[in-house]
Amino acid sequence: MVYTAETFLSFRQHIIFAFFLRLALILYGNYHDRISQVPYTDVDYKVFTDASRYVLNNESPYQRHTYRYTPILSWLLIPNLLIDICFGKILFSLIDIFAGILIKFIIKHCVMSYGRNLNDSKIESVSNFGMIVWLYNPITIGIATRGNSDSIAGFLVLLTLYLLQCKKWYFVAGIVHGLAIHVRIYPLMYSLALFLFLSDYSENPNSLSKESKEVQKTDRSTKRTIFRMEYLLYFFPNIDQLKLMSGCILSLVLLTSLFYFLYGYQFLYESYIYHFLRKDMRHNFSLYFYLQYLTAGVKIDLWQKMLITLPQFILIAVFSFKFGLNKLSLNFAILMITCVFVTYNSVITSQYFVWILAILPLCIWQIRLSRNTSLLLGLIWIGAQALWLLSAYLLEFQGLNMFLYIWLNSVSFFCANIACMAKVIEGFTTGVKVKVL
Amino acid sequence: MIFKTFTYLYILRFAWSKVVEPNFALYHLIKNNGFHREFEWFLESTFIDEPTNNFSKCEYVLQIVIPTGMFVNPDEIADLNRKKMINAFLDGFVDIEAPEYEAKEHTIYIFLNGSKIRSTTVMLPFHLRYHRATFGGGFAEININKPSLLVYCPSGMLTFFENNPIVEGVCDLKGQTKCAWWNITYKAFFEDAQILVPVGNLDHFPFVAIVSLILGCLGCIYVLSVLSSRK
Repeated sequence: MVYTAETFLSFRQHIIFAFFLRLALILYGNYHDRISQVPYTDVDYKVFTDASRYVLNNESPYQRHTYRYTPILSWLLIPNLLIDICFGKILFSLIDIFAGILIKFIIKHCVMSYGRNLNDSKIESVSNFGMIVWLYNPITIGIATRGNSDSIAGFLVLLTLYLLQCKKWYFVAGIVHGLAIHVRIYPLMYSLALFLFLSDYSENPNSLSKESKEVQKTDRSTKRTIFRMEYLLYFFPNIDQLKLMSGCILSLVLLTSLFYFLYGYQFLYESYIYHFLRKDMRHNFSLYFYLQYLTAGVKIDLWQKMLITLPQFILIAVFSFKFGLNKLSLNFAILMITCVFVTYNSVITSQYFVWILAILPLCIWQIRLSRNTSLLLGLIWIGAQALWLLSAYLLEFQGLNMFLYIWLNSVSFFCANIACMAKVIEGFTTGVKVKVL
Repeated sequence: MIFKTFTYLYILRFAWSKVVEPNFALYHLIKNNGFHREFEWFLESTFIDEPTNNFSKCEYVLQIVIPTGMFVNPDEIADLNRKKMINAFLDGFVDIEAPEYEAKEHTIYIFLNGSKIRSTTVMLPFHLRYHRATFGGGFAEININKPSLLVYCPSGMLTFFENNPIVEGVCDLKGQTKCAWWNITYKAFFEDAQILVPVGNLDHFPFVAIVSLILGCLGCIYVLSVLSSRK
């Protein structure tokens, strides 16, 4: 018997069950916080609530030290103080659920457009599977119920992809993309891929004739190249691209002007500038953390900065072109860009993984990996992370000098990420043959 | 005769007062290891209250100067104040992200409940800052300052604190005005404490720099090679 997402529960039942699961964990979190010294609630949730308190007193949310988010968040969480402290967690959980629904719709649209060999029940099954991967992922559940706001950015990225691919409302997609950048700067790196997706040069392998596919095949086998000079021509925008760009610029400019008017330079610095200048030398998952710590306060040579930033920029540009210029692989382009960004960033914390987890379900049906390989990759990734967490615990909570060990574990984690990315790239298909679940 | 009796009584009372001069003893404990710790002070005092000499009506404050190697989180203090788990005022801006060599000292005033001054426990969470890496690595030391016990008694009340030095400190939890307090002596049942903070080892720099930078590039080249070999 083949088990599918609907074997046990229908789509609506999954939504309701996933929401109540989150509610139960929120209640448990309240109980846990009362009895345990290690709180369940994320430290940032207190930051948001404190910022809301300032807003409630007609003050700037940026008076709360380390509040580096959009003022919208502090406004949204005012009911934390007026109704119940759990309001924000319930809101984040609801956004989580809506993100799950968007994942289902996006996959359904992509499968219907690209996987023409499937019947309705199979399409339903494939799309529900993606949704379930998101809804029941313990990390995403934990993030929302602990009061971390990162699911909002994930939701906005998904909404952009939905509007762009399913609705084809390019201007609105631009507005949402601008909002996503405003909320969390990282969606900015998707801009090139989104732009190229709407390019006149963007291909749809399903619509190509057999002859042209053959030509492409021979062309690829004889001349394997990642970058071509003609790619530069792709920067001339068409109408759709202009709509996307204008929507994005409009929302970004409006939001930035509004909040600059309300909160001044402090808003600009804390929300945007800080994230570009951030140089956190405290231990984190990044490959570069120990190097940054050892060189803290010392002027770093330009070549060193280049070696840290260039690999990331090169890979993001290559993935944007390679998969953005293909109508069947925009979601995969976004997934890979996120993976590169998270793997190469100079500061990596656990919440960054949610950015990947929000996009991964969109592409699962296109990634053909054996069960054993998937399991092995999962184990390697979790194992590397667990080792890192153990050494970090010994440093942070036991006071042992573990810097070198933490860094060695960061190196293993980096290698695990690269290995996972490589396997996923190898297993990716443009969805002409849908993976049978 | 009556005058003499009153004179003796007055002398006797004065002598009694001298006998019961308040004594303060402070014990301290540093809980937890690692970067997130907690002070626990236990203050004990012995005195006899009299209608004209009620020490419970005095105000008591523990003043602690937090050295640059550590910090008290102002938001954590605000939270504890809200939950009535502490009555504290943090004087000065605290950058909770700054490393030790960029940080500044700050002072915290913990207001104690006069009615419980005979025996009271105070807890204060604090966190260690990252210190500059050194050749050889190991641990850096943070010297913990002993807290000052400040007292202010209502005017007109016979007091034994007048001979103590006067220091300036915030008047109340709002911290907007400064007041003069008596900095009284107490018996400290602890030695000057030191906390060790792990620091990075600069000897690792060449190895860490080469491996980090080259590995980053190799990872990029490997992903590109996988990408270009895709069928």
